[in-house]
Amino acid sequence: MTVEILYSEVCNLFGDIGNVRYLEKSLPDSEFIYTRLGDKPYFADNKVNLIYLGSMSESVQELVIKELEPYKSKISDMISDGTAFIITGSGVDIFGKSIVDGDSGEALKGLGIVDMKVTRDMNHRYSGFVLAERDNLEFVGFQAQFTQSIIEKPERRFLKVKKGRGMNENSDYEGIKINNFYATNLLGPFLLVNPLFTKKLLSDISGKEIITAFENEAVEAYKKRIEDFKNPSIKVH
Amino acid sequence: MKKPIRFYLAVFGGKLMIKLMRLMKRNATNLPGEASLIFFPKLLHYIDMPEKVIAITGTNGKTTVSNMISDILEGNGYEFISNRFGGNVDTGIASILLSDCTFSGKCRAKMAVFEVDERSAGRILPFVKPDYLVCTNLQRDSMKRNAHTEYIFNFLNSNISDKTTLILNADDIISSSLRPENKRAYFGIKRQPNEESNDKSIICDAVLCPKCHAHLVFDFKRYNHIGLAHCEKCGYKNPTANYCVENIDYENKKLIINHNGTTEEYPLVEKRITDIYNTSSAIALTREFGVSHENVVKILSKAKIVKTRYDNYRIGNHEIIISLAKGQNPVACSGVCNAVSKESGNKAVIMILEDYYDAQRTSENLAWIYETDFEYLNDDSIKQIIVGGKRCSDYLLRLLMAGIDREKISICDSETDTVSFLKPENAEKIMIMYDLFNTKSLDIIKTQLEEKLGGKK
Repeated sequence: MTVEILYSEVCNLFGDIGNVRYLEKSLPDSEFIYTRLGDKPYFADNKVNLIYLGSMSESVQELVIKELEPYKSKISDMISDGTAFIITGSGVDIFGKSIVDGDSGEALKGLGIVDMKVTRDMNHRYSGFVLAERDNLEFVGFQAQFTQSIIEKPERRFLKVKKGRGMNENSDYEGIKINNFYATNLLGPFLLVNPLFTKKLLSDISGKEIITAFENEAVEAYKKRIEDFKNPSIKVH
Repeated sequence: MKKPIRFYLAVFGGKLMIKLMRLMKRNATNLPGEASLIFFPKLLHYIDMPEKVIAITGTNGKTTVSNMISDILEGNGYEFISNRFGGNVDTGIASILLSDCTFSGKCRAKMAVFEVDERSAGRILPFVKPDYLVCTNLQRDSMKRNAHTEYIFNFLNSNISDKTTLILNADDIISSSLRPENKRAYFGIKRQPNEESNDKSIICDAVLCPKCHAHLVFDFKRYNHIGLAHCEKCGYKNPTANYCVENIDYENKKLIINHNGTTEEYPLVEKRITDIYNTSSAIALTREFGVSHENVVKILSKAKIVKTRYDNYRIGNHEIIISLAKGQNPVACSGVCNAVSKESGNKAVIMILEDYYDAQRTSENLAWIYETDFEYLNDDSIKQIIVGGKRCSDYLLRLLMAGIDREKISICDSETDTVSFLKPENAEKIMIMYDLFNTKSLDIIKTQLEEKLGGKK
């Protein structure tokens, strides 16, 4: 398998790099390509099986949008073809139509790959945890963000939130899923805190059962966190 | 300036509350300010400020630097108010001002030294308008509160007054570029002989040139983005330090500082590099403020870092080293991991890093442990690591990801069970890394260690 890590030197704000290290340890026989800002993405001319992009600051979002703008059709084609993408934290925002500043009303044009509207309010930061579900699998994660998003097509919503806030204060959905394109505002080590999802995803795209790194320990921590999140006395933030 | 009647009522109420709380022998460090600010949010706008205000902010080191500056000024006869024993947010500063001012809101003190929480700067700096502002550094901190370094930089930059003289860290390419038009002096530490560049840090917040966004080239990294970098595209680089530590003489406990071409000698208060930065910033501020070299030396030669942050003592044949490793602050915690690895001899490490406040009502966001350099603990001299707390399974996974042998790691759900796992025969030093709000467990652990290892010396 070929895994391309996009711009990890600047897209690692909240421990997202843990996902990269987990992929490296879980896929020891795979080829990892690390693309830096300013470099032509490897996927532009080569077949890749998995692309990872993590959290970034607001100014880096602008740079990454500019960087990926010439390849947005290619990215759309890859999503249609079933190439796997894992996008965490604020990396998600760039795939929408625009990121609108709540104060000034100014809009930063996104890649427009997903029907998603993002509003950013730098005066209000939301933090909390999320307990969610998809296909009978439970997901856990954390949010710490200035944005709220709306995904227009329900079939493209990734997770159903059971406890916590969704992508906006009125929603019970979190993230985007289109084929093997998984994008979530849940930041940081998403793959490590959701080891059963990671195992399934990696097994699906590699066509064989993958034993993820430190699988037993990761599952143990995951189970303890789910138990914690389900406890009614434990608040979301 | 004409003051509204509500202002006078807020001052009266605040002062009355301070009086009552003191009568009840309670600390009036935040509550009176908080109540007055709720009643009249523009309190800091209308209250008179002292003639001279020194403020200290930054991600790491601001409390230590504030204490050092206060000690130097106090020891040289300056009289001032400060929030040394109070809060560093707007409510704490309002409380101090209320305590000092007259009922008409006029400040009695001629001078103030305020530690300012960088995240609260927007509610403090526009009103306090300090004459001098020290920024120790800007680094990644709690993602919940501080988001990221760029956010804090922009936030601080937009709230600093034009008239403020800045004392900045030349080795921090981020904070050194605050308000470039303001008067300023820089402190820094020259690369020491045989000092290796440290490229191991997971976090580097200065990757792109702040001017042209090209990749920066680091000539030397001390830790994280602290070091010297330049941009090959536009030539941007770290500024030259006006107070540059040329030589750290560990043997004779001296710092040799090049002050704009003149060599000055100061005491080495603590040997850790972060404390040398703290000392350098306090020297730069007090010297710029007008305190003579001799008078700074006089006080620094008696200075000590407060024991709540670092302590060491012996129990029997073991040395106990206790370090504050602020939870949710990956840079500070990484620094402690690095320091632990550099201690000589065989070591056992006890880690109690969970956020006590978060744990009381919610479930702590542990994403920060994946940007903390626990890899430093993957060292042959570290024979055992014991992690205590509700989230110990997450720490186990993190330590395994850092390449640490499973056999070396013990975990337990309670911080105060950690000592029962300790194998003292394998280590000469017991290192305890604790979070700021875990001091209750720390005290119990210290007692348990005395019982396990024999009497304290």
